[in-house]
Amino acid sequence: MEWILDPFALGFQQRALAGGILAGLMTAVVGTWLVLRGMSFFGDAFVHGIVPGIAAAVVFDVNPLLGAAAAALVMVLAIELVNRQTALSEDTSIGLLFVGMLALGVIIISRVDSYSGSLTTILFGDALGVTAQDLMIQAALAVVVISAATLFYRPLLALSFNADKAQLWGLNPGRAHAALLVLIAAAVIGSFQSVGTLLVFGLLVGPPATAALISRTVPRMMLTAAIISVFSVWIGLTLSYHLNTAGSATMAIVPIVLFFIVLAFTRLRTLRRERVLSHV
Amino acid sequence: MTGTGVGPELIRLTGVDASYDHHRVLEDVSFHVHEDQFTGIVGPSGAGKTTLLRLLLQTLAPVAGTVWRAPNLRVAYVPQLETVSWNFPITVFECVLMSRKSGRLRPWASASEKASVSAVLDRLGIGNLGERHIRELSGGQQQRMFLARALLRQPQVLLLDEPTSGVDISTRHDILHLLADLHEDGVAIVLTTHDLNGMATHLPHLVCVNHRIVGEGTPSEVMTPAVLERTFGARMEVLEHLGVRLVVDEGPTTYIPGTRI
Repeated sequence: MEWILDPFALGFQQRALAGGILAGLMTAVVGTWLVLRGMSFFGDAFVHGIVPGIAAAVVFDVNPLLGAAAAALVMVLAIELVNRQTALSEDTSIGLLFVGMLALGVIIISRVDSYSGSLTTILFGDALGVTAQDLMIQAALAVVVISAATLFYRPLLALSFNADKAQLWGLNPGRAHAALLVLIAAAVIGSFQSVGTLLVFGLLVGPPATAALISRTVPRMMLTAAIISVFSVWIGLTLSYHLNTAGSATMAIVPIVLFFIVLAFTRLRTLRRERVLSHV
Repeated sequence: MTGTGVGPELIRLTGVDASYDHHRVLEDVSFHVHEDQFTGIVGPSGAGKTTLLRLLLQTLAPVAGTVWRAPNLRVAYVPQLETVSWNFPITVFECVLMSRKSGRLRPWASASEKASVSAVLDRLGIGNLGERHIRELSGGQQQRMFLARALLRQPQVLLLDEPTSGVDISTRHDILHLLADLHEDGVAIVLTTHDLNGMATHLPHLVCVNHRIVGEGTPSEVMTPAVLERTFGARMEVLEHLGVRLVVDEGPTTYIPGTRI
C-alpha cells in the first residue's frame, strides 16, 4: 500500500500524476487517428518541430504554450508548401522540416546561459514541475481536443478507412484532415510540459498501437489506448519514484514495453488457435 | 431484362479525356447512363475501367470534355475488395453505417439509422453478421457488406469495380442475381469486369474499353474476335454454347505444365 501511495503524497507529485493523465487522455484519442492514418512519422517530426517555438518563448520569457503553437503553425504550413510546390514525396517535406526546426531550436537555446538544463526540460519534460495553472490550461485543452474528436468522428473514420469515398458521402476529407492536424497540435501542446516534446510521441503512438492489436472498433481502440495511457503514467511515475529514474522517460517507456507484451500474447493466442484448428 | 438504356438520362460523359500525373488514361470517351441501364465495362488491366467509374462518380475531374449529371442524383459505389484495408478496426455494422447521410455530427447511430442498416443487412442475407469484424467475413460476405453500404443511400445509380474478382463461382452467381434483382427494382448498374465468360457474357449491355471506347452493344454484338482483339490486343476465339458466348484464348500462352505447344 505504501509502495502505491508514497509516490503521490506531495502536491507536486499529485500534479505530475494529473498532468500525465490529462496528457495521456488527449494523446490516446488523437494518437488513435494518427496510427490509423499511418501518420506516425508526421507525429514524430511534429513533436520535434515545436522545439524552436518553446526555446524562443524561454528566451523572450513568454508562455511556452504560445511559442509551441506558433512553431506548430509554421511547421504545418511549411510542410504543405513543400508538398504543393515540389514533386517530392511527403516524407521528404516532413523530414526537411523535422531537422530544420529541431536544429533551429537547439541554436536558439544554445544562446541561453543554462543551455543544457533548458534543452533537457523541453525535450524530456519536467513532470514534477507542473504548476496548478499549467493543469488548468491542460484540462481546458483536453476538453477541447476530446469534444472536437467526437464531433469529427464520422469524417475522420471515413477519411481513415477510405478517403476516396468520404467525398462521395458529402463529407469533406480535406477539412477532416486539417482538423486532425489541429487536434494533433493541441494534444502535443497540451502535453509537452509534463512529458516533454520527445516523449509525448511515446504516448501518442505507444498506447494506440498497443490498442490496435486487440480492438475491433475505433471507439474501443480509443478507450483501450486511454486506459493504457493512464496506467502507463501512473506506473511510470510510481517506478520513477522508487527507482529514482527520470519521471517522463519512465512514463514513456511503459506503453512501448506493454506493446511488445501484448504483441507476444496475441501471437501466442493465434498460434494456439491455429493448432486447435489443425487438429479438428 | 432490358439494359441498353432507353429511359431518362442520368449521367453523360461527352468527349472526355482523363489522366493521372500527365499520363493519359482515357481519350475521347463518350458514355451515357440511363435509368434502366445494366452495363459491363470490359477491358484489360490498365485500360481505364476504374478511371471511367471515377469519372462517373465525379471523384476524378476530366482534363477535357464534359461530365453532366442529373440534379440531386444519388450514386453509390462498391470498391474492389483488394483495395480495402481489412485490418482497420471496424465492424460490419459500422462499415455500412459509414455511408449514412452527412450533416449530422453525432458520432453514434440514431434508432432510425440502426433500423435502416439492419434492414439492408437483412435484405442481403448478412443480418446476423453486423457485429463481426470486417476481416472475419468470407469474400462473398465482404462483397455483400459493400453492396449493403452502397444501398443504404438508396442509389439511383450503382457503380461496382470488379465485383466478382476474387470470389468463388457460387458467390459470383449470387452477386449476379442480386444485381439483377436491384436492376429489376429500378437501379441503374454499371460495373467493370475482366471476367468475360463468368460475368460479361451474362450482362445485357457491354462497353469495351482500351483507353478509348472500342465497342458497345449486347454480348453477341461485342463478343466477336474483331472487337475483342481491339480491346485486349490478343487474338481470341468465340464459341457459342446454349445461346451463351464463350471466349477462348488463342495463342502460344496456353500450355499445360510439362508439355510444349
